[in-house]
Amino acid sequence: MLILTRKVGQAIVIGEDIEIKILEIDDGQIKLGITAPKNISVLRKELIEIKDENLKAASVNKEALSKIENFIKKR
Amino acid sequence: MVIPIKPEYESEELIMQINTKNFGIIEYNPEDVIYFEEGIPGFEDLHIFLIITDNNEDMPFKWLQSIDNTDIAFAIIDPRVFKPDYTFEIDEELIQTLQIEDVNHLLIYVIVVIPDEIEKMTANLKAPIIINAKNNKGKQVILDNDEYLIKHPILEELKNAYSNA
Repeated sequence: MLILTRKVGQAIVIGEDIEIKILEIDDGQIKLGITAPKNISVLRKELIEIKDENLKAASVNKEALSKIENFIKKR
Repeated sequence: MVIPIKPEYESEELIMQINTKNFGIIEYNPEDVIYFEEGIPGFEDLHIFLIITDNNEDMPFKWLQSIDNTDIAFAIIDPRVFKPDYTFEIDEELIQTLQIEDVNHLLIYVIVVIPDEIEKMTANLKAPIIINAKNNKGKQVILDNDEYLIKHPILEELKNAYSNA
């Protein structure tokens, strides 16, 4: 992993046309400004994990759920 | 001259129907439809859903059934059933998107994943489904809270919640 140190207002450039600028640092949070071509998707990493989780959830069937409901009821 | 006969009723409730993969034919009132403007992550094309209960009313699970794609339904649960202290901050963006006037109008659910080994079922506490019951607008929100996991195991907590009930 390449590690760079930047200050507010400074930026890094990836390839020819992607720029990531440090806009603001406040209480452990960093605000980034990202300039990239339209065809490059920029996502918060959690969003990809949430998508995967939703895809898994969509295949849940009601038989599995009723099994769990029985399981809870027995207690 | 033919005079059209006015219906005696003012307005009959309009009932719509869908044929779902999991639950067969469901009848619903279009007023009960929940609208997700952005869809939900991974299903950005699905905008309209119903919340349905499949069986027994005392069981905590409900289903978020897609109307756009009737094969798709998500098992959901109010996280406060097994985690009474579940809480999060509502930011300005969400207030705008769902046009929230009063937090008491909000319904909160999390999506449940049930693998083959049911003991390993998890709920996505990191990304709750929030619905403004006042206008039926919904959104899956990603919380900025590192304590809540995408795969939070729930079976033990559920059993405890039910044995104390």
